[in-house]
Amino acid sequence: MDENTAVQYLDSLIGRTLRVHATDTRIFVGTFKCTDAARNIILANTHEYRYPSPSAVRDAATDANELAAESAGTAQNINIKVSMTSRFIGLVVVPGQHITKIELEETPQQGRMRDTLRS
Amino acid sequence: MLPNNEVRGPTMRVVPESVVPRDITDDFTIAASKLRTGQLVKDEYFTLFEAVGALEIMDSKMDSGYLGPGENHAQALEDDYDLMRELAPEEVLGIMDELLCHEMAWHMGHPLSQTLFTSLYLDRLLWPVPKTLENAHFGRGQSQSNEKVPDMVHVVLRAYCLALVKSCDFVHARVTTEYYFEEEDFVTQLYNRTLLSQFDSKHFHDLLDNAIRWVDEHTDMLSEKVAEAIRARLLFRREFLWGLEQDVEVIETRSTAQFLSCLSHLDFLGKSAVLGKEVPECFSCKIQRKLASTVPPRPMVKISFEDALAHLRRLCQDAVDLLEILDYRGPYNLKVVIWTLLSRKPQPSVYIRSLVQSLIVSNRTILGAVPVKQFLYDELEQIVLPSSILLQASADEIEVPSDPRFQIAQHMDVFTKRFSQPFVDTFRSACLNRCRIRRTAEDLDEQLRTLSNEPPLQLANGDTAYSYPLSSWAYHHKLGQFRLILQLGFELSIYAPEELPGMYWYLSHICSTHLGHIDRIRTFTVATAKRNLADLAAKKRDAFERHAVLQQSIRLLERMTTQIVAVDAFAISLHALYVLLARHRVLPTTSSPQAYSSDRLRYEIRMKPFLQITLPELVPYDEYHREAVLEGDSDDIVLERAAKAISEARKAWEATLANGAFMHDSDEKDSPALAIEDDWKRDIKDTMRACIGASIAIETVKKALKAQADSRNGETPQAPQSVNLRPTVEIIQILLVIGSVLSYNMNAGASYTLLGMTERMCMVLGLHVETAGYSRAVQAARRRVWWAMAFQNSHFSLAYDRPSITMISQPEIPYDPKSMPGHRGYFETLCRIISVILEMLRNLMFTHHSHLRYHEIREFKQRIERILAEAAPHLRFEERCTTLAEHIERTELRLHSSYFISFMCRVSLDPDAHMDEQRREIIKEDCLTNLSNTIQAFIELHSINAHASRTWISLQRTIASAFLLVANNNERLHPHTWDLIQRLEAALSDHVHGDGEADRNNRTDSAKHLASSLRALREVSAAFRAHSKKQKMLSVPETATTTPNLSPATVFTSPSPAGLASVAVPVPPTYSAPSQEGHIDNILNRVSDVMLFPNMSTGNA
Repeated sequence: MDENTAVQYLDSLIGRTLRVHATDTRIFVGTFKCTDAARNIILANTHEYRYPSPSAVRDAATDANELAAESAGTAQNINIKVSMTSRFIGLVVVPGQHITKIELEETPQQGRMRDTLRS
Repeated sequence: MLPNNEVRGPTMRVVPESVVPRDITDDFTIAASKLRTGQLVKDEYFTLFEAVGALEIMDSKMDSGYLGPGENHAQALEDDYDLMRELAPEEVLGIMDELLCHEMAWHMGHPLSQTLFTSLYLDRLLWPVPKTLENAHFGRGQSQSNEKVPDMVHVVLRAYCLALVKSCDFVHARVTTEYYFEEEDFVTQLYNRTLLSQFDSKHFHDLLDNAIRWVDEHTDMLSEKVAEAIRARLLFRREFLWGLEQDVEVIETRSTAQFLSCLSHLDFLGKSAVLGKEVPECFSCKIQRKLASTVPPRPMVKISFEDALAHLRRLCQDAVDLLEILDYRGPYNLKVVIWTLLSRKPQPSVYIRSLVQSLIVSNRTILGAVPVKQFLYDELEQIVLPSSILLQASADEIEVPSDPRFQIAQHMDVFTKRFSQPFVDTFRSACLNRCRIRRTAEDLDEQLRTLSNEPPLQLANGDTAYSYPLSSWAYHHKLGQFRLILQLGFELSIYAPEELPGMYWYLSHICSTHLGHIDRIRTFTVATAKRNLADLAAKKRDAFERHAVLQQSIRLLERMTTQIVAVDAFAISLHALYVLLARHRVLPTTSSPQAYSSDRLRYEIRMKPFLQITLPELVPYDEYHREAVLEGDSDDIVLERAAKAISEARKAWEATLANGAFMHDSDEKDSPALAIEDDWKRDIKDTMRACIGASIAIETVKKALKAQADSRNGETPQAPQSVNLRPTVEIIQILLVIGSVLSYNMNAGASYTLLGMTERMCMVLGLHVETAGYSRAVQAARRRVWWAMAFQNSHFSLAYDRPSITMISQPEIPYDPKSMPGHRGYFETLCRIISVILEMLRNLMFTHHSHLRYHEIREFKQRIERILAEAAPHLRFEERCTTLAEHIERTELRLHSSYFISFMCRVSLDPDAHMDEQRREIIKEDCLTNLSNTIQAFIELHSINAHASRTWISLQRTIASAFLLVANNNERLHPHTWDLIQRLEAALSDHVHGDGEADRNNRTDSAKHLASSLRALREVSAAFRAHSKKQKMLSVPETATTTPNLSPATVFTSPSPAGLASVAVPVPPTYSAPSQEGHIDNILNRVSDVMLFPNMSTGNA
């Protein structure tokens, strides 16, 4: 990838929704606005997602267990679903050194198109 | 004026079901790494300015979600505090009071995130947003929901918390519908939560009642005092909630019971606060991590319970007194009540101000009773159009377009449309915070000014034509706004002390303009009233009614006149007082003397809002300045003016007070707005007190001025300050330059005398010795000055054999810190040589020898040569010189150093000196070589720069060398000498002719000397040349020394002190032909008179 294609690639991401994972496990989801050589990323209209706290998981598990116990009797290996806490925090900059993972949100259609374009 | 636009981010993110995240970490990282440093890939419309506002994630100061090093993930959001735990009654009390503090802090303008939303109890109730009120309890989201919640917490605290949130909801709703300033007055941000606005307040009352009942029933669990305290708080909350719920309904209900009851609880609340026990764990800043917030984390705001109660008390009291504005009794009275209420100090809280705004106008009705149009008409009738047909005409009744009444109605409708809003806004603007009132007033003013081109109204009967009633009215308000802006400027202390005299003058100027204008309005009203008197006598219909209206209007104008006179007189006296203070420099100034600001610039800034207003015209700065400083008035006049005006002001304020706050209808006796009238009276009384204070100040100034005048009369007038020549380094530098110019162009004798004074000054400053205690730079400057002086001085010492103190004591040479052998600068080198010369002169003086001995000559010569060898390259080699200055330095140094060496060797030319012949020859050779070197250097200097070769010392040294060389030349050894002399003659004639263009009589002395020197040089050289030719022809070998037998000492080195007088003898202007040898002596002597020893005693003869 030379400089031109790199810029082109990044330009194609501008305005798309990115999920940026930070070193402290939080996830920032927002509209990609700007980046630089140090991979600092500016996101607009950002929501912050945080993994549920252990107590919330524990509570949910207890509930699920009780539910399972009532219905089936076996309380083993059931999947529980706890939503992440989220809040709106607006315009943020995530410093490059704190980024662990970057994900692009796209519909399957977009994904297919990208694949065909690349191949 | 519209409510602020709320900018809120999306509250929920909508994600389409089908979205698939795709990991692009590697692609992204690789692509980003290809970017150059500083290169950005960004959205086209995304600016760096916006980027500055981005919150930096993982930065503890910016990122509200950041976890400190010690915090683990489990504790990130949750506090260990157990909301379900049982609380002691004292703790409940403590939490209630703490919540009240936070509530009041929010009222004062702090954001919820730093106040109420730090409470864990409230957080649990409000998030997630409860769907039903039953849902809002402390046990939410907990698995142990079946666990028994303690009643104390669940019933009492929960009811209190929910009611508190609901009362905040009412306040929030009221403030956001009105005009306020976000973050200045209030922060409306709710962080994506609601304040339970969806639930009816009835439920909250039920909850409170329930809680009160619970407290009553469980007296066994609670100590009596604590129960009483908790009960009082619940009661207070219930009343407060009622009061806030009432809101604008107060127009209908006219009830103050709720807030009065609140007030009655407050004392007990204050007293019982000590019973409470604080529970600091249930308040936490960590909640900010959960709030939808685009601001960095901020600390919790803590205010004391006393402050909170004080704020609450003011709020309740203002809410009670608010009722007094509700009775509509004409625009004038309304303005007085609103202004008085909102001028209370401290200013009423933002809720009260918003409420007043809503009450003043809603649905185009004033106070819920009077339509805006009627309101405007009332105002017009009161001030400019009493009983006028203009206000009675209505388009509803007349439909014939040609009828004047129809036209009037149309005109008036247009007027009403344009002006009702700005007019009402002059009332509403009083509800803003004080700083904003000032600025908004400036805006309103602009809206009012548009009326200035109203056409004269022609009425059928010609009554009011040219009274311009509507313009008059607008102008009246405009002047009122001007006064308001100026007076608020004083209230808000925006004027610098040095501006005060001017601003007081401007205030009085506006006031007197206003008074003139009111007089004009009155003239027309009085004329109408007179006409009406005739009708009254005739007992016409409506005449009596009209009479009453007219009288009312005249009374109002009278009342306004009194008040403006009071303001005017006070302003005049304060103006005079401040002028006096400024004149005697008692007034502090905020700007430093070097500041860029000036009176003119400050005036420009102050008047900027008024620039576009055509009427009243802006006073031009010059006129303003003249008036502001009371130019031309003596202190006594100004003082009298101040004293007179202040007594006038006191009278006028007394009259204002006697008039009372409000316009009364004739039949009305007692005022319905007692509390506000009290405020008004207090304010006027305070103003009168200020008048008394000012008159005391004026008296004091008077006494001080008198004392000053007396003491001044007692003293003898001070002698005019004599010219003070206290020496400083700078003065010495100046004197050195003057001395140099004197000697070079006019008068060497005067220069010598001046140099003597300069030398003494140097010694006064201690420059001749090393003095400690100066910084390096100052010390270097001092040395340089001394050595510059020494250079000029040494010339006189050498040329005229006059001893000087410079020979004896000298400071160190001003070496540059970076200087080193081989790179000594020009001045350093010259100083070093001078120091050798001074040493030589000192030796001669002390040993009483007339000349140096052979070994001494060798030694000094070697020392000078060594110094020259250590000089910078450009001083030694022509090819190393790059600039003109370097060339000049090099040739000058050569000139002086050669001259110095020739001077030392000069003894060899004296045939009478005792000296070994062989040595004499060696030294003589040195002497002649250096004499011709001096001349060569001069010629080169001249070729480089003719101005440089005009320097007196260089010129004088060269000419002296030339004469010696001519007289002692040995043609066999130095065949080029004549050539050299000829070139010198050419150089000198350049100068003479350069001067010579001017009239001979106007020439300076030195120019005259130069001309005669040149002539003499020519004659002498011609004579010697002829002589040597003759010798050659006779082919008699002779040594040059024997030829003219000229003693150098007689010519150059030793004019005895007695000789000083003799030189003044005028020289016969005629020169006999120098064909005979005997004449050469004469010629040289005359030359010495004219050139080498310029008139020392005759001045510019």
